[in-house]
Parts: sequence; C-alpha cells; structure tokens
Amino acid sequence: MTDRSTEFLPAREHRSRRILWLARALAGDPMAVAAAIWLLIVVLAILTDAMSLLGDNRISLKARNLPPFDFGQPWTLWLGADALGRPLLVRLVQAASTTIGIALVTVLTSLIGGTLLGVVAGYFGGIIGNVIMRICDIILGFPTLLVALFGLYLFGPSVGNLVIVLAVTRMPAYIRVARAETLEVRERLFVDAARVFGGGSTWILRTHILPSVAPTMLTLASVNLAMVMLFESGLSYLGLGIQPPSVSWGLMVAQGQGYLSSAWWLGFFPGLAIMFTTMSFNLLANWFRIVNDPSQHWRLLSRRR
Amino acid sequence: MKKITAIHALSMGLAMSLAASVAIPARAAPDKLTVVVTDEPKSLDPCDTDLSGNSRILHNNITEALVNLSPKDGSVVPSLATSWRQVDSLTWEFKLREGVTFHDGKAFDATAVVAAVKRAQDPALACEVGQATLKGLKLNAEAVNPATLLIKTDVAEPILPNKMSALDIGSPATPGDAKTRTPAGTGPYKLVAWTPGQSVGLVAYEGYWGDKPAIPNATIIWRAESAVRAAMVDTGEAQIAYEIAPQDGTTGQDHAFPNAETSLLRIDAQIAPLNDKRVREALNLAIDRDGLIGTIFHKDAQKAMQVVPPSVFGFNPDIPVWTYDPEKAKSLLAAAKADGVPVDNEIVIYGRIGIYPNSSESLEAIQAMLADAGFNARLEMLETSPWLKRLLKPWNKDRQPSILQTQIDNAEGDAVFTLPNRFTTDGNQSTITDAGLDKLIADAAKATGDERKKLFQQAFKYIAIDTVNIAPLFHMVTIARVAKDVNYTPDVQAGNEIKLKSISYR
Amino acid sequence: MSFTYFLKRAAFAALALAALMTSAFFLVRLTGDPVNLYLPVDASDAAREAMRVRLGLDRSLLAQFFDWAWDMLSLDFGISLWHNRPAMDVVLEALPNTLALGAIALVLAFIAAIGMGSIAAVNSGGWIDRGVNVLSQAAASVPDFWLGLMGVLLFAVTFRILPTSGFGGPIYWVLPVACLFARPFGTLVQIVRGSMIEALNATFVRTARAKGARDGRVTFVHALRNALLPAVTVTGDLAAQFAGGGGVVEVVFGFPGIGKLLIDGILKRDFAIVQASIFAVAVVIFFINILVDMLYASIDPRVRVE
Repeated sequence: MTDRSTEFLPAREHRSRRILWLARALAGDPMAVAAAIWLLIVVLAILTDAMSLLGDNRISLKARNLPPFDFGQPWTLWLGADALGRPLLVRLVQAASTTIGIALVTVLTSLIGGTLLGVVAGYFGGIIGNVIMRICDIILGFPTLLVALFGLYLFGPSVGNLVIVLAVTRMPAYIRVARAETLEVRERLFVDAARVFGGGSTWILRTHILPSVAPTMLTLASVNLAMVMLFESGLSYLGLGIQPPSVSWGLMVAQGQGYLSSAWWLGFFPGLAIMFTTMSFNLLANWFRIVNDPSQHWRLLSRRR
Repeated sequence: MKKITAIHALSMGLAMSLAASVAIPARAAPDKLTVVVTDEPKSLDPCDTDLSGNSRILHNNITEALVNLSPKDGSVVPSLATSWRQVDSLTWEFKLREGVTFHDGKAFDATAVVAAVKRAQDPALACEVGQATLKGLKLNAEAVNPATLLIKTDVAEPILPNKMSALDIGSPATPGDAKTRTPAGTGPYKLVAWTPGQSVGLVAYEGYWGDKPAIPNATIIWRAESAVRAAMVDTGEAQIAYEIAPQDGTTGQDHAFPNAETSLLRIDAQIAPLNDKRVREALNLAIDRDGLIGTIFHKDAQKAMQVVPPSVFGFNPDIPVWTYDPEKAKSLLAAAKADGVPVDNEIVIYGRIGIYPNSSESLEAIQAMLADAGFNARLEMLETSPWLKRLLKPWNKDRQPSILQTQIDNAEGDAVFTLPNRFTTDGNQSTITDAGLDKLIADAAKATGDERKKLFQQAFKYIAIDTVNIAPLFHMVTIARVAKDVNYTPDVQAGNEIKLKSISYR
Repeated sequence: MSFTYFLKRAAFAALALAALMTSAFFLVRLTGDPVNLYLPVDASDAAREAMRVRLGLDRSLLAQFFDWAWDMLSLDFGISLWHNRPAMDVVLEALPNTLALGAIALVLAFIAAIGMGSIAAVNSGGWIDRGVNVLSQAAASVPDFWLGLMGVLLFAVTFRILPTSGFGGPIYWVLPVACLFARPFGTLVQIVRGSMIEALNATFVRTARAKGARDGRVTFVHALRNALLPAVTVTGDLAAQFAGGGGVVEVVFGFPGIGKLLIDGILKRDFAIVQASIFAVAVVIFFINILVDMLYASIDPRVRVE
C-alpha cells in the first residue's frame, strides 16, 4: 500500500517528504484548500472562545432577536442576537465546539472499537466472531434513527450518552469492513509465515494485521465524520441530542424553528454552518481517500491537462 | 405483497408529483373553515373531555353537557338542561331540554343521561372525566321521567352543576365496553371523519336544537410549530390558528386571551437547601418577572401571586406580587448559609419541552437570574413522560433539590379543582405536609357561598406567604391568529373549546 | 435468482427479525411506563394501578414477553394506546406514504444524478464540472431538516406558493420530496461522476482513442454502464434508510409517514405502534435488498447471485 521506495529512508526525511507531497496534493485540489481554510477558521474560532476572547455572552432580554448585519453594533452582534439576546456569532462558535467535538469523539470511539472488534471477529472467528457479527446485523436491522432514539430515551439525553449512542450505531460498519479486511490479510503469505515461525496472536495482530487494515479504516472514518455531524444535528433538532443550556448547531436550528417567521437568522446561520462544515469534511475525506490510494493519484496531478 | 404496495405507491406518487407542477394551493371557500391546533386529539370519546386537546373538538361542537359555564363570570347557564335545583344535600334535580336528538337519530332524554353518567364513571373505561373532573365523587343518576333527572352524590357536592358542565352526553348507542372514535352527540356539528395523523372533519348537524352554525363545514388540523401555524393563516391554509408564540403574535390579526392557565415553578420544599423558607423566598425575589413579560412571555400575561387566575371562585386579590430584588435574595441566602443551610448544593430546574411557547427560553433566562442571585442551579429539559415522573409521587427519598416548571389549568372555575392534589398532604403532586392547610382546604371544599370563598382565599394566602413552596410566574394568555375575513373573538374558554357555531365569515 | 436462494435468505431474515423484535420488546419497555401519560395528572393512584392491570403492565416482564411472543406468532401486534386501534392498521396507513415519498425522491435523485454526473464527467476539469461538483457536495452536506425549514420560510411564508406542511394533494409533496432529494442526489452525482471519469480514462478507451477512434456513443454508454453499478448499490442503501422513514423531514412537515409515527410512538410510549412499525420497516428493507440484488444481476451479468 505505502510507497515501498521510501521505506528505507531515515524517518525524518521520510516525514518531511510526506508533508511536502501532501501539500502538493492539497494544492492540486482547490476545493480541498477551501475546505481546509474553513475548518481552520472554525478551529481558530473555537480556540479564541476557549480562551474567552469573544467577550460578553450574557443573557440580555432587551437585545432579544436583534437583527443581523447592523454594523453599528459591536462586531459580535453582526450576525444578530438570539432569542435571549446573546450574540449569535458567539453562540455559533460555542455550538461549533460541541458539534465538532462530539463528531470527533464519536468517530474515534467507533473507529477504535469497530476496528478492534472487527479484527478480533475476523482473525479468531468462531463463536466470538459470530456473536459480534450477529449483534451487528441486529443493530443494522433497526433504522439508525431508532437505535439512537431508544438509546437516548433509555439513558437520557446527555453529551456522553449521545456519543455512545452515535458510536454504537456507526460501529457495525467499521466492524464489517475491518473483519473483511482481516479475513483477506490473514490468508496472505507473510501472516502465514509469521504464524509458522511461532508468532503469538497478539504479536501478529499488532505488527501485521492492524497496519494493513488501518488505511481503509481511516478512510472510512474520514467519510463518517461528516455523516455523524449531520446525524447529531438531526437528533438535537428532534430534541434528543444536546439539551439547553448546552448548545449545538442542530439545537440552534431547532430553537430557531420557533422564530422562522419572526427572526429567520436564528435558524439560518447554524444550518449554514452545519452545511459548510459537513461539506468541508466531505471534501477533505475525498481528498484523503485519493491521497491514500496510489491508483487514483492521477486525479490530483493530472487535473490541469 | 409489500412489493406491490410499494410499486403502487410509487406510481401514484410519481403521478402526483407530475401533477404538482400545475396545481394551485386551495383557498378557503365561504362554506368551509379550517382551524389549526397544536396536537391531534388523543380521544374523541364524549367521556374524555378533560384534556383540552379533546374538548376543543368535542365540547359544544359535537357533544354537549347539561349545563355550560358563562365565559363572562363563570356562572352556570343552561344547555341540555333547562333548569336545576338542589333537592337535599345529596340530591340534585335537572329538567332536560325536550325535542333534542342525537346525530345518530336517537332521542335525548333522561335515560340517555343516566347511561352517559354511568359510562363516564366506569372504572374499566378509565374515562378522563370520571378520573379527573369527578375524582372521588360518586354520581348516581336516575330518570324520573324522560324530561326529569335526579343525580345523587355520595358526599355533599355544593358545586355539582359546575362539575356537570364537564360531563358531555353522548348517544346511548355509544359502546359501553370500549372507547369510541366516532362520537355521536347533540351538538351543532357532527363528525364526518377522523383521519388519524391528518385531520378531523365536521359538518353542521341539520337537526340541531339551537341556532344553526354559519359555516357548514369545519376541519381541524394540527401542527406542532407555532411559526407554521401562524403562517398557515397567512397562506390561507387555515382561518384560525391557536397557540401562536409571543414572537409571532404581533399582528393585528392576533388576539390574546387569558386561557385559565397559570405558570409556576414548583419548589420541592422537602429537600435541603429548599426546605429553608428563606431560600424559597430568595428564589422568588431573584426572578425578574417584569423582564420576562413582553419578551419571552406575551405582554398581556399577568404577574401571578397564586395558582389560579382571577376568574376562579376563591381567588384572593390581596396577596402582594413578588418584587424583583436580587440584593435581598442574596442577603436571605447569606443568612441561611450562616445558619448552616447548604445553599451551595446544586438545584436542578426541571423543565418540560413545549409546555408553553418559549418554555425552554424562559427557563434559560430564569436559570441565569438565579445564578446572578447566588444560586447553584442547573437546567434539565425533559420530555413529557420523564417530566411526569418528577411531577407525580412517589419520589425518591434521596432526590436532588429541585424546582419544576409546570402550569396549572382551572377552566372549571372553582378553586377545589386546583388545591387538594397540589397542596395537601395526600395530594399526588404536593411537596408539602401541613395539617393546618389540609384542614383549611377540606373545610373550604365542603362550604358554600361566601364562607367557601373566604376559606379558599385564606388557603391561597397561606400558600403564598407561609409555605412558599411555589414561585408563581404568570396568568397566561393564548394567542389565536384569525384570518381577516373571519368573524371570531376568542373568549376565556377558548383554550378548552372552539365555539365553531359562533364563527362566521365577514 | 433461484427459489431456494430466496428461501434461504428469507429464513435468515426471519431469524434476524425475531432477534430484532425481541430486543425491541425489551428496549421499548425500558423507556418507561405509559400510564402517567395516558391519565389526567389528577387521576388517583388506584386509577393508575387499574390501568396498569388493564394493560398487563403489572405482571413480570417475562410473563409479558411470553404473551407477546405468542401474539406475534399469529401476527397480532396489539392495540395502539394512542390511536386506540389495531397497531398494524395504523402502520399500514403510514407506510405507503413513506414509501411513496422515499421512492419519488430517490428516483428523481437517481435520474438527475445520472444526467448531471455524466455531463460533469464528459466535461471533466471544465467549469461545468466544477459547478456540478460544488453543487453536489453542497447537496450531500445540507441538513435535510434545515433545508425543509428554509423551504417553508421561502416558498410558504414569503412567496406563499406552497403549503407550509401537511398532507393532501400533490402540492404537499413538493417540499418534503425536495428535502429528501438533496442528499441522495449529491452523493449519487459524486459516484456517477467519479466512476465515469475513471472509465473514460481507462486504458482501453485511451488506446481506442489513440488508435483514432472517435469519441462515440459506444465509449459513453460503456462508461455509463460502469457508473450504474455503484450508483445502484448506493441507491439501494439509501432506499433501505428511507424505508425507516424520512424521520426528521416527516416531522418538519407533519407528513403522516412511518418515521413520524415511530417518533411519536416512542414519545407517547405507544409500545404496540413502535413494535409494529419496526416489523413493517424490517420487512420492507428485506424486500428492498432482494430488489437491489436482482437489479444488480440484470445490470451486470458477471454478478452471480449464489
């Protein structure tokens, strides 16, 4: 999978070359550049807010539903104020950290959990493997929304539960792919050889199977990031995800619904933020997939023909 | 078979979407009225009119009761009964209107009322009227002759006629062993169809005993979102929309009317630090009620000092409204803290999603106000089922200190419908045990006339000043948007009944 | 596809369904007791207990389970608490709406995506391609409920040319269909475009071009066929998802479909409705999967159904 010729280079040179190659590949895809810039802005905004540089975010009923684009106001109010008079821009940034944070943690959880379970199911098979796969089938048999609904009703809507529920509903996809990849790798010569030379299972899993499975899993994870974000927004919209006084973009759209005809900006901007961010994740995931697949590199390099 | 359904549905849908490009939205015809409410009715059984969502459609449209309450002063006025009198402390006599027929052709007479009264109290049916309005009271109806009815009660019930205003009389053909979805009553409209998930259709009943309604066809539909309901009147999809949120109800077409509801926060006075009266007073002083009116709540909402609106018998006009005094709240908290009250314990504010428009915004604002006064309060918005668990006993002994967002409805017009369950030791929603108050409320419920009024007023004063287990917020208003060409002014009862027969086109 | 294959698959599906329904039974009961929701708050404890007895909720969970399992074997899904009617009747009223909504959106998305995707692929690298790419990425990323709200704001509240919500004539379908259309459309355009570019760049096509063959219909049709297979796969997955209801979109528009029924069913602790909808959805998903397999085989003869 990886470029064999670079394998013998000293590690540092390898890495710097890799970064150079990534930069060149990114430059070949202007939409990926735009996506990267947008995500950078979002991350910077979250950091600024974390250092509480964004100023006052108090409830002020007098400023309730202040309209946007009034540039005579302080700049935090340029996108207007929400139903409790808080600057919408600041709320958007606060919501960004919840929304994106949840998406990242969820994807990481299902990536790690799914890969491990899938590899175990694929490598050992047997009863454990069967049980894992049958549970996957059942979870996949439920409409995803339903699994989430059940989970959140049972355990109550909270950020932690939301992450768990989302991770569990996404996990079967990872398990299936990881298992399929493992099954394939297991039969390859070098794994057979390792086994013949007396390598323990853990050692074979760590040195041979996991590294071979990892690139596919990472690609899957990058695609899933956008999906999870949309899904979280949908659940929060239904009142099952994030609960006030916490805030996420989906919840902001839901709360904005009550002001659809009186203060459209309350629901409009958070939805736009969801779209831009999801789109950026999608674009970068696409780009990442191409970068990781040598057979598709021509797409990045032969763009200007 | 499923596949066939799918293919059939698909072809139908495709045909529809093709036709969509040429269709024009339907506008109201002068003989047709569409009303949009918040929820689908749960039941259209004549004995399930306690829930406003059911009674809005049924009461005085499809089915009627023996008497009505006047929207002006809450007094009892004739409907299916023309007169009534108390025979002795346990017996009432009603004279019934003659020549009235049910929609299914059956005659209205005393035996029909006997059957309806019996049905409403049947434990197997679990009727709302039997369980809420008549709670604890046994009625035994007897037909003396077709036009005369005796109702005997097991305990003295001085306000029996009030209670009868909530008991709608369905046709004697209504099944006795199951709830019906196709009610037949004596009202001005009869049910055409209840299409689940979509609409309830009504048509004027030719044989109605009173004045004929002006608009022969009425449809009731439901949408959860206030902004959508409001927009539907503008687009002509509906002529009347109920429960518009304050932010949408700003045009000349929007009528605000008091809806007999009072919003409040119920304080769990049994758990520290809320078991200290100073802390509960501080909580009341920390809420800026004036700041909430006209922003999150409608400008016509009235600051409340007790849990029933002024129209209710027993309302006490002499209780002072809480002022907004965060400094005093802080000093009360400090004093309590000095006495060892754990005022820093986290207090949970339990809210219910959508209990009234802007319910979650109101609690976010209140939480911030409490925090400013030095409370450690956390907000938790709940969906109805878990919220009911917090509202109703039994509660966990080691629960967290909490306050609960709720709203109390008293459309029946007498304080007895509100007090016992919420403020006596045995009440299923009561957070206090106070023998004195128990006795006061019990005595008031048995009394009549001025004595009754005086005792209830005492009880309200005692709750407001001595027990302080509530933070009353507002006597609420509902906003209805009415299309320009429609003649309709909602009254105080509009929350529980849509008087369709009084509506006309200009 | 052979009949035995179908039977084998149906048997597996039945087993999975049994497991699914069993877990649904226990899960839905863990979400809490419906009694409080169905009685007025002023009802007495005795009335609450009476209702519990009437619904059989006072018995042990295991006893309830065996009763329920027995009913299930005769396909009796019980009476809906909220609707006060047989649950399956309610579900079968909502299901066609959902299926029609999903099918219209998917078919339109599929057709539009094939068109747009191939136009983009033929003009690969040009401004049309870039435009299609941005549009499809945006469509694939837009939250459907937000699109719905903005659609209502624009077309119903502001321009007043479409109804805000509800159900009825064709005009009521426009906005929900448009909302459900967006994501499949975006995803499918990406797929069609990608696989067509790949095919057009494939070695043998280049060879053919180098040898002087003109860019003819043959090349295009070949490339399209290449794109069809992944597009059908993805459409099949999406169809299975939509069978569970356009969930959020149905809620936004008050569209009486199975997604809204399910969400309402859970909110109202209407166990019978939840179980009947899960069952119906699972059956539909089973048939959609079979259908996709059949389509597969007809598009690409190399795919053998074993």
